[in-house]
Amino acid sequence: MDQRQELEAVPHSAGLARRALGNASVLMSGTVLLAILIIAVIAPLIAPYDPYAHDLSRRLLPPIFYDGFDPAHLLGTDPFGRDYLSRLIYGARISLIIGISVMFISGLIGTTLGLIAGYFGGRTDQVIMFVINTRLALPIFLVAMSVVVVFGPSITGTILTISLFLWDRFAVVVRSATQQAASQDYVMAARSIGCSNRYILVGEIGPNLVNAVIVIGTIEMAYAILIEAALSFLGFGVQEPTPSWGLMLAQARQYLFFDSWLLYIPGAALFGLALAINLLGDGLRDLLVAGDRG
Amino acid sequence: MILFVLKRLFSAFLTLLVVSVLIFLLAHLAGDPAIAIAGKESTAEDIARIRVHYGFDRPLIEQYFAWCGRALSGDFGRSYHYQQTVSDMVMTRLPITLTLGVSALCFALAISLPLGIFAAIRPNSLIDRISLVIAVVGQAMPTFWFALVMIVFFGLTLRWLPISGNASWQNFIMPTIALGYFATPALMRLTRAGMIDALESDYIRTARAKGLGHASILFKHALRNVMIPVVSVSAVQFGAMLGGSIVIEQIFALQGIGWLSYDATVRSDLPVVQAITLIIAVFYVLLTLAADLINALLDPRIRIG
Repeated sequence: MDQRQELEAVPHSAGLARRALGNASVLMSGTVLLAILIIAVIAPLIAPYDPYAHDLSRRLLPPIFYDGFDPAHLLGTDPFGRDYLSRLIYGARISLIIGISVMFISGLIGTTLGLIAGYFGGRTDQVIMFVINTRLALPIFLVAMSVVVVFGPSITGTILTISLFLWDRFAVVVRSATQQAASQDYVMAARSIGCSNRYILVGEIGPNLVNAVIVIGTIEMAYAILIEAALSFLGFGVQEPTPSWGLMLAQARQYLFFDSWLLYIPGAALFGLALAINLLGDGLRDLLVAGDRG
Repeated sequence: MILFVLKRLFSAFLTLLVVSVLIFLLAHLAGDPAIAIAGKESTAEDIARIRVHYGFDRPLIEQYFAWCGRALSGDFGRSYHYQQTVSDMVMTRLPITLTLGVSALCFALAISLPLGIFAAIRPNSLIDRISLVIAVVGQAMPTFWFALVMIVFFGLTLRWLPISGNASWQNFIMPTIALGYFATPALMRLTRAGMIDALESDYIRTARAKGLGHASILFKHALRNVMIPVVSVSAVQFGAMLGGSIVIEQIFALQGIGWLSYDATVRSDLPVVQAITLIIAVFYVLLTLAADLINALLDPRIRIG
């Protein structure tokens, strides 16, 4: 059995790479995402200006696609005279930090609870399902805003709050996948030769859930980025002067009539990032989950 | 069936109990409410008097039961900021949010049901592709940005629609589209996937073999089965929209409970925040309870398992 799987594993993963490169949506979204990631990491090297530097004599300069733009500021300047391109580049950092951290924390919580519920079943399963229902009954924005009122605003706080709200989909999917796996021959075999529950969960069932967890992870990462932007927009997320796309949109709101480009640039960046992550997830689902030989 | 209903009722009750404890505790972590009521310039004597008057000096568990007891009879206390009872404030705002929620759900269903059904009948057709684009774009669209872009186009540039307030039905058009679009992708995917499953099933083949008309197969046989998951997801989405409408109501100055909860959070007006959070949780629990019971009536497998 093991040998056959090993034999199959090699052509399978080679085929996976070929299919990934042949899949236009995975290729394109993956490239866009990688580009945004690189830009975020090397932000200090490529940002033309300090994103915090004020210059009130050069405020609200229009971007390149408007008449009378200043070549020194490709995307113009914000109402404080800060370079919009530099703030956009640094804003990608906040979005990605929050998206990736939330994905890992909520993924860890949800996968663990889902594995336990699906494997042990019975009373344990009932308790965990009850926790999921309780979490779903709590409105995320209201609770996140109350948490800011109680503990004050911070990036760590925002990450933890969003994480505590986005693990439910991981838990539900992992639970039902574990339920299916628990009745399979290889789990029975592991149990009959006396493997511990921990080994069966981590070593036997776990690897079979990786694909599904990755796909959910992309969905939740995009969602976390949108929630952070909305919270920052409302004033309950990242705070000024830190560059965040949600905060840039909050500022743009006061200039909708005459300087609507202030609104389009960070919004399009936010939309593009969420779109790239979602398309990557969709493509990965086609490659990994649907193409699985289960 | 009776056992299923009792079990389901018990778990709904338990969920509400835990949610109410969490909401109560969160408000009490916020620091001394007596100082919040008295204001910053008050003397220690004033604060002590307020503490006794509101019962903040008593044990936490006693306060919780007192709060719950009053909440059950619809008394959420008085606002710290406005000289009004919380239930009055919430009750005048609730209809606006419910109107927005219902119209947004109707908008989402009006788009996702026909497109999802047609996409399932003709996979890979132009309509299937259009609906896929609508779903993919909708999933990545920041709702509040979409709302602001609509304000610029339809409100400021074209001047077709009012951009703030809740004076007329026209004020609800843009908020409905913004909030409804958020719920559309999930409903559309569900309808399409359910419809494809149903059309491939044996009972549809039998119906075709019997010589039933196309429309009759589609609407009488296939759609009926698709509606079961659509009902449950609609209930969940409606509950999520009541909580999510806070951003939309704030942008359009639509003065429903979302707008009120934002205002109350900014002012640290805790009784109002507590009441609204609890009301949204109650709505969610009752909606999912109703959806579960309806589905149990429709599908005997649910109530036995």
